[in-house]
Amino acid sequence: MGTLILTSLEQGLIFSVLAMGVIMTYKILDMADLSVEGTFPLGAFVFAKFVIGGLSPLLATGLAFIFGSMAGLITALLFVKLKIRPLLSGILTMTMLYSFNLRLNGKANIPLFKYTSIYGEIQAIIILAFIIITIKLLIDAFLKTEVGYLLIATGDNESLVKSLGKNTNSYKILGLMLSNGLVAMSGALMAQYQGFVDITMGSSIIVIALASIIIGDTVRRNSNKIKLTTRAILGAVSYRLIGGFAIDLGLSPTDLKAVSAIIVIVFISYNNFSKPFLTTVKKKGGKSDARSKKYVEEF
Amino acid sequence: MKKNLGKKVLLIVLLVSLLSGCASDEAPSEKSFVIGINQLAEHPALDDARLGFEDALKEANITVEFVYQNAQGDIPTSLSIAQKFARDKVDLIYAIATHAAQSSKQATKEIPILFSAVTDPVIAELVASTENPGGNITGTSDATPMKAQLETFKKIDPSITKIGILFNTSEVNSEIQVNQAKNLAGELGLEIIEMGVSNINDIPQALDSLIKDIDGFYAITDNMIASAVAIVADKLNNAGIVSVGAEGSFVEGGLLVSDGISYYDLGKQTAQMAIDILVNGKAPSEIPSQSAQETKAVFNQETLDKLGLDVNNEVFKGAEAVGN
Repeated sequence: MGTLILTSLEQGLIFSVLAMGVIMTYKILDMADLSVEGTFPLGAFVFAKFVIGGLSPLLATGLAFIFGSMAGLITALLFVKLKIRPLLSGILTMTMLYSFNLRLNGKANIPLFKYTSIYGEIQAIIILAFIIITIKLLIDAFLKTEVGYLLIATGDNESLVKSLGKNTNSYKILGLMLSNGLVAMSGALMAQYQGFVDITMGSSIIVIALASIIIGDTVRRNSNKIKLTTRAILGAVSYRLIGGFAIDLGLSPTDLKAVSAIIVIVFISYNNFSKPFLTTVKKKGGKSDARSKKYVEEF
Repeated sequence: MKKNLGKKVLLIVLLVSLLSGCASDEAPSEKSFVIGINQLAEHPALDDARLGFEDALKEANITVEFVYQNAQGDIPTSLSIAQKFARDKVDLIYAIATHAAQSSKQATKEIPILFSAVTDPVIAELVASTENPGGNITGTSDATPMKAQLETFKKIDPSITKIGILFNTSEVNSEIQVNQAKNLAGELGLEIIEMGVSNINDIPQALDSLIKDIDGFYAITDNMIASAVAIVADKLNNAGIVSVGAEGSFVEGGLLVSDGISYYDLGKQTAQMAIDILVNGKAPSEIPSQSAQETKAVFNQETLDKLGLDVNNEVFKGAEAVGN
C-alpha cells in the first residue's frame, strides 16, 4: 500500500502544477482555456529538445515554462487583440501547437532514457515536493501583491478594475501567460518522470486539470483559509490517488475510465448539493468565492 | 464538514470495490509464474498479440497467472500499471505497444520485460540494438516485411508507379514506416505520396485528395487508419485503386491483399522468449529482439472481383481468401 500511495503522490504532484496553472484561468480569470492541451506537451517537447541539446534538466524545465507562457501569450493576444472568444482562442492555440510540437524535434515520440532528469537518482517525490512547495509559495506570494490582487479582481469584477483606471487586458494576458507557463512546466516534469515524450500527452489533460480543481474545491468548501493553490494540490493528488487505488484493486480494465468519470461526478454533486452552497454569496458562474467578499470589504 | 467528506470517501471506496469484480492481486503460489500484461489500448492487433502470447504459454504447459491491465490509451496509466507490476514483483512484464513498453522500462530495471507490437524498438530506445538489447527488456517488433509488400504492386500491375500512404501524424511508428517506404521506393520504381492526418474525421477528405494523384495505396500499420479501414477501402475500391495492406486485418476490412504479419503469431513468438526467460533462466539481454518470422498471405475476394483482377496472379497464390 505504501508504494501505491507513493507513486500516486508523485503523479499527483506533477499534475498539481498543471492544476495550479489552470486555476489561474479557470478560477481566477473565469475563462476556460483549452490551450493547455497543446501547452502540456509543448513543455514536454521543449524539455526534450533542450535536454537532448545538452542543457541541464533544471534549465530545460525552466525553458519549458518560458515557452509555455509564450503560448499563453498567443492565446491572450487572439482573445484580447483579435477579439476571438477565449474558448476558441484556446482551441486555436492548441491546434497550432500540435504542428509546432511535432516540428520541434521532428518526431511524435522521443525517448529520454539516456538523459538525466531533474530527479536524478533520488526518489522523485522528494524533488517533486520541493518543487511544488516552491511554486506554491511563489504563487501565493504573487497573489498577495498589488498585481496579483488586480488579477483576481479582473476575473471577479472587470468593471471595478477598469474604474480604477487599469487595463484589464494586461491582466488577462498575464494570467494566461502564467497559467500556460505552469502547465508547460508540468508537462516537462511529467516527461522526465515517465522517461519519454509523446505527442498524445496532452489529450484529455483539461479533464485531469478540471477534475483536480473540482475535487480540491470539496475540501472544506467555504473556508477561505485554504488557498487556491492548496486546493489545486489536494485535488490533483486525490484524483491520482483514487485512480491508483482503482488500478491496484485490479479493476476490470474496461471499467477504469467509467469509474474515473463516476468519481468526478460524485465530487461535483457533493459540491453542488451540499447545504452550505445554497446559503453563501453566489458569484457569476455559480462559484461561491468568499475571498472576493473579503476583497470588497477591504476595498 | 469533515464527517461528510469522510462519508463520501467511504462511499467512493465502496463503489470502487463493488465495481472491481476482478481478482485482486493475491500472493502467487510457489509453482506458477506471475506475468503482468501491460496493454496500451483495446485494439484488435494488440488484443491478438496478447491472446497469442497467453495461448502459447498455456499450450506449453507452464503454470502461469496472468494479471492483465489495459491503460485505455492513457500514458500515465500505463506508467502506473508498470509501477504496480514492479511493486508486486511479478516474474515478467509483457508490454504491448510502444508506450506501454517505454513506461515499463521506466518503471523497473530488474524485472524482465518483453514487448510486442512495437515497430522500431531501437528508435524507441527500448533496446540498444536488436542483437544486443542490453538491459532487462527485449521482445518482438511488428515491423513489416515492407520491401516484399511494396513489390506486390508491380506484380499485380507493372504500370503502377505512384503509391499513396495515409498516416496518423501522432503515431511515431507511422512516421518510421513512411520514411522506410520512401527509402525503399526508389529501387522498386515507385514513388510514395504521403498524406498525414491528425484526426480520424479528416480521413475522408484527405483520402479524396490523395486518390487523385495515386494508382496504388499502401496501408501501413497505423492504429488510426486501421480503425477507419472501412471507409478507406470503400473509397479506394470505388476509385479502382490497387491496395496492399501491411497486415491481415486491413484485408478483412476491404483492402485487396496483404502478405504481412499476424499479431496472434507475433504474440506466440514472444511467448517463446518468455519461456526462455522464465524456464531456461536466460536474461533478456541475451535474447536478441526479433521481428515476425512468418507472414500470412490473405486477399479479399470481393475486392478482387470489384477491381477486375485475375485471381491467378502469383500474388494471390497460396493466399487465403477472406470476405468482407
